[in-house]
Amino acid sequence: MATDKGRRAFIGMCARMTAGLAIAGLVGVSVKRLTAMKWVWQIDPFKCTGCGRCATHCVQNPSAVKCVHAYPLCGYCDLCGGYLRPGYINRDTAAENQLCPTAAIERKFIEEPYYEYNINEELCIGCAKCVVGCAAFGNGSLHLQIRHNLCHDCNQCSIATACPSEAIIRVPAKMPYIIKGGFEK
Amino acid sequence: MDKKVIRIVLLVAVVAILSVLLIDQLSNRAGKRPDNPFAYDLEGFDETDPGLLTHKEVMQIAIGHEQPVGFAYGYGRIFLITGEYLQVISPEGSAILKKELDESPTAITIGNKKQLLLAFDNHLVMYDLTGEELFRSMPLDEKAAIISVAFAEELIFAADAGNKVVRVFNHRLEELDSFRGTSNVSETHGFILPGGRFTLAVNGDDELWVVNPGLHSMQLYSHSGRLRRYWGEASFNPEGFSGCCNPTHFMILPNGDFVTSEKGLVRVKVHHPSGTLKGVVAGPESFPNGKDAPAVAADSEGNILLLDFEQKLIRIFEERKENN
Repeated sequence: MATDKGRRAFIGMCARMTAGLAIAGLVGVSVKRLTAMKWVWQIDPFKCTGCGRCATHCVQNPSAVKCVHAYPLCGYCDLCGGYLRPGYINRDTAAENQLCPTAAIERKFIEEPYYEYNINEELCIGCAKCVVGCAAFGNGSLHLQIRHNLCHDCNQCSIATACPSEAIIRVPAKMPYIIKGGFEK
Repeated sequence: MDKKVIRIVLLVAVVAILSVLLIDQLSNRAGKRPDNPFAYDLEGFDETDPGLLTHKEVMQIAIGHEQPVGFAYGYGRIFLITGEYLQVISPEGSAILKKELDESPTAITIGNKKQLLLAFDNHLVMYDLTGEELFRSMPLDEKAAIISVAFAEELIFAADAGNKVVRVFNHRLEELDSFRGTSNVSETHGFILPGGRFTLAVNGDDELWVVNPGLHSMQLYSHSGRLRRYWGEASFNPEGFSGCCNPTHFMILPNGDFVTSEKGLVRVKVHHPSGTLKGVVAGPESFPNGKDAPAVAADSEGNILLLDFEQKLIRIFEERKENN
C-alpha cells in the first residue's frame, strides 16, 4: 500500500510539474511574441532607382507602394519635374501637361511663383515616374514608400524579389517609414 | 521496346522541353524582365539637332578618384578643388601642385591679380597662385553655404545658398554688404533656390550676373544689389532652361556670351549676351545616363572646359571650324 501511495504521489507530482512547465512555457512564448520586435517591408528612398516595378510586382492591385512628398524638401516650383511631363505645352493642370499617368498629383497655387504638390493616394499606383522626374530636375522630394495601411506585409515581398537595386528592406515596425527630410506638412 | 512507346516518350520529352523554353521566354526572371512601362521618357529632347552643335570634344583629363567640387581656369592652368585638396593641373593634364587644405572647399575662382579665392561653406580664403594664404574672411553665420564666388575689379561677390543672399566683400575679404535680389521693383521676387543651386559671375564690363534658378532667369544686378536686367525662359527646348534648378552653373566668355550648364537634361549651351541661343557645346548625348550638370570654364583659346562630376573628368570642347 505504501508503495502504491508513493507511486501515485510521484505520478501526480510529475503531472503537476509537466502542467506547470507547459503553462510557464506558453506564458514565456506569449510574452516573447508580445515583446519581440516586429519588422515590416519598406523602401529605402536613397537606393530606389524608380524602375517602375513597385507598380507591377506588388501582390496588391493597385500597388501598396505610393508616392509620398517630403514637403520640407520641396522647392514648390512652378516648373516641377515630377508634375509636368517633358515637352509640356503649358505649365498648368491640363491632362496633356501632366507626367503622372493617373493624375495622382494635385497642383495648388500658393503665391507667385510657388505651387504646392499633393499626392492623391487613391489614384497613385506607385509607378515612380514622378520620382524620377523630381530627382533629375528637382531635389528628390517626391519618393516612394510602402503604405502600411495597404501592405499585407507578405513573408516574402514580391517587389523585394523584383527590385533591381535592393531598395526594399525590412525595418522595425516602430519606425515603418523612411522619409526624406520629414514627412508631415 | 515497342516503337510506339518510344515515340510517345520522345513526344512527351519534346513537349516538356518546349514547355520549359516557353515558360523561360515568358518569365520575369532577373535579366529578362520587360521594359519599364512607366519609364520617364525624354525622347525628343535627349538628342541635339546637329545644326545647333557649335563645339566638339577634343580632350579629356582624368582627375583621379577624389570627388571633384569645382574648378577654374587662369594663367594657363586648371585650378581644381577635390575633397580637401587644391590641385593645379596643366592643360595637358599633368599635375603641377596638390595642396591639402584644412577643410573641404565649396567654390573656387581666380582674380586678375594672381589671386585664388576659395569658399568654405561659411568663410572665404584668398591664396596666391602657389597656394600661400593671403586673406581670410570672418566666419559667417551657421546657416551660410557659399557655393559660388566671383571677382569684380574692386569687390568680391559670394553666392550664399543657405541664406539665399549674395554677399559682397572687398579684396581683403571684409564683408561690406549683402542683398536678397529683392527691391521696390515689383517684378523681383528675391532669389528662389529650390535645389540649393546658386551661381554668379562677373563679366568683362565688371557687371554682376546671378542665376535665379527658381525663375530660370539670368539676372544682372548693380553692385549694390538692384536688379537691372534679366533674361531666360523655362523650356525643355534648347532655347530655355529645363527643370526647376537650372542653369546650375554658368560662366561668361570674354565676348560677353554666356555658357550655361543644366542638370536633369544635361546640356551645356552658349547664349548671346541678349540671352538668345547661340548653340550647344555638349548636348544630353554627351552625358549618357548623366544627371548632374558639369561645372564650366573657358581657356584663353576659347575652348570650353567641363568638369564632369559623374565621370570625374575634365572634358575640353573646341569650337567647330565650320562655325568660324
